[in-house]
Amino acid sequence: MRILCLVIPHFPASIERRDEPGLEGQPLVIVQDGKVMDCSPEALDEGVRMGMKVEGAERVCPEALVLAADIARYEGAFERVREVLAGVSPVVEAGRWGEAYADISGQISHCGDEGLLCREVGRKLHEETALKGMMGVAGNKFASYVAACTIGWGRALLIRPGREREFLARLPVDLLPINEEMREELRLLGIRSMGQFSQLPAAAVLARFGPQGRKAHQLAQGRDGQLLIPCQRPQVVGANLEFEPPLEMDEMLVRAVGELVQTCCEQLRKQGLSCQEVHLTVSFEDGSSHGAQRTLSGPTADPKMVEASERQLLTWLSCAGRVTEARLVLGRLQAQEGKQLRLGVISRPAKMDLAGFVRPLATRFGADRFYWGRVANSSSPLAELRFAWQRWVEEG
Amino acid sequence: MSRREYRRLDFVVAGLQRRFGPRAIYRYEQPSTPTLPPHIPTGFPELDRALGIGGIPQGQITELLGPATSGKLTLAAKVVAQAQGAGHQAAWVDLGWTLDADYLHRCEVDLKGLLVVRPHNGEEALAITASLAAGELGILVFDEVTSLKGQNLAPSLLEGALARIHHGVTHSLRPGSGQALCAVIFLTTTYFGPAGDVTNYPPGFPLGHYATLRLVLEREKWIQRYGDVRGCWARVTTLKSRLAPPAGPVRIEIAFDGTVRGNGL
Repeated sequence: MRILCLVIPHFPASIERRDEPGLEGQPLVIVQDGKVMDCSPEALDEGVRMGMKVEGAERVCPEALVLAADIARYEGAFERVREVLAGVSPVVEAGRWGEAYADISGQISHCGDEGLLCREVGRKLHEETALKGMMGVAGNKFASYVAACTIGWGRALLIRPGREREFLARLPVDLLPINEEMREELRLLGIRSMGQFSQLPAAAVLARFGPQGRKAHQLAQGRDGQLLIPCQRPQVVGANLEFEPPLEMDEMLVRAVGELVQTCCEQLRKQGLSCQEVHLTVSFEDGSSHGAQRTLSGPTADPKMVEASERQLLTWLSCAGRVTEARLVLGRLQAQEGKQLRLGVISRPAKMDLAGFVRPLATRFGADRFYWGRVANSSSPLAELRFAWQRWVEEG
Repeated sequence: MSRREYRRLDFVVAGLQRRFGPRAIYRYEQPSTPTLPPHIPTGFPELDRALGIGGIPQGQITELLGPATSGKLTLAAKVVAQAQGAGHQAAWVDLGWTLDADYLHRCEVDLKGLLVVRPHNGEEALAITASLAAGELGILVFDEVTSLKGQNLAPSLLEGALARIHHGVTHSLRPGSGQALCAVIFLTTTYFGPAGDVTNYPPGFPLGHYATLRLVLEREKWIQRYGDVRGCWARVTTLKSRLAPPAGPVRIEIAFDGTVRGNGL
């Protein structure tokens, strides 16, 4: 397996500097809820640390510019970074902001070699996000991450297959995922490098440092069994219709939106998927738009059920004017269950509709127990006169 | 366990299944991907999240308790509307003959597809409910439990009827898929003591035991605009849930402007 790790350190601060080039070189502190969420390398050198209170950060670095975190912007930027990696590999795991992994095993035949692949990723990253990162390629996640962290901005470090232990041997133990206590103990024991640490007996490390030490020992030896967990993006299927001239909220609109349902269900059928959420958004002439959503009780790809839900959603949306656009999105997609054909002929009772189900009950208890409601006088000012109850099954 | 002990255990299990049926005892297997039990959304997204499974469970008994005008009937009507929208068939057992068709219509219930049962007494109501619950309905609402008080029904009859309803609901399976079908909702108006107090039920009616989910509704305040009552805020608390850890109280807004809408829908 070959894993490419892309690291953009201080991701939120990088985004702020990308969007505001004047901030280059100035110490930056990004805060959220009164605490430091991220800072630029200059502020880090001055002593600002993540999790510090704003007042503490201002005390250690008075010339730092304090900015409020804009989570939505950082998420959007990181999503674009993920998309760049998704362009080279179908298996992409996104870690914290600024850290992403891609499984590039088998991609080399397309790109020539790993160096070319890394150059291509760097070029696309700069083109699409105006960001520069550091890349590491190795046989496991930890080694590729360390390789990315130790190389400079805009560069890539490739570790040959099987050479991960050799590469990690000369690096300090501080790069291992261990707590302060273990770090201090290793320092007191005189163990400075991962090579020294990896040479210790595994049983002794486990006895002294516990499971954390055993895990760190394996990582120092270049053994990391962690697999990439690809991030699943919510799949949706959607379609929209624009109306020229705008339509009133009447039968024509219902029929038009019915066509949207057919289009979306056709897409579901082709992909072998079913949906469990129906979103309908309607835009009006005055520029406003209203949306409604319904969650179905079970996944379905049946156009009739989706259309029934969509008709109900249409009746819920307030009729503020004429409709210029309607958009239907089917969410919570999942694969349809495969149905195996039965080998033998099994006789099943015919499905009874409600009337057929009620008839035996009416015979047993009396027809005057079962009713259904019908509209009597919809314009009556008295609520009790608008509807009437009618017997479900007539006697005789 | 050794291989001999496993063989002996298998032998005992096979004997129990031969004697009492295959469903008497079986091994639990953790599903590789946890799946939610079949449910019907309530129409109130916050309440769906708080219930933990996304709505009212199908194949189980749910009880909605609360004083008068707390929103029990509205919540039940919204669930019926959601069930009908999903293609299920619905029934409403109106023991008190007080069901307001206009209000149900305003709650977006399809009246043509709703079977309304008007039994003449409590015994009939429970018998019809047991028959309907074992059928192919998607949802059944029993309105309401307090009407059974004062009918002098024997405790053994009440318990037997409830046991039959519970058996019919939990054992009703959709042919082929093995999926439970009917969600039964009991509405209980609390007049005496706190919600869940036994004095609110006819003597010997163990609904609190058979119900998988029990929700208590309390109206917090009316929503008024220009002197008109446009809706109300109701607080829903989970009194009992066998399917998910009970979340804290949830506040739902019930609006009355022509159509009763849920939050965000």
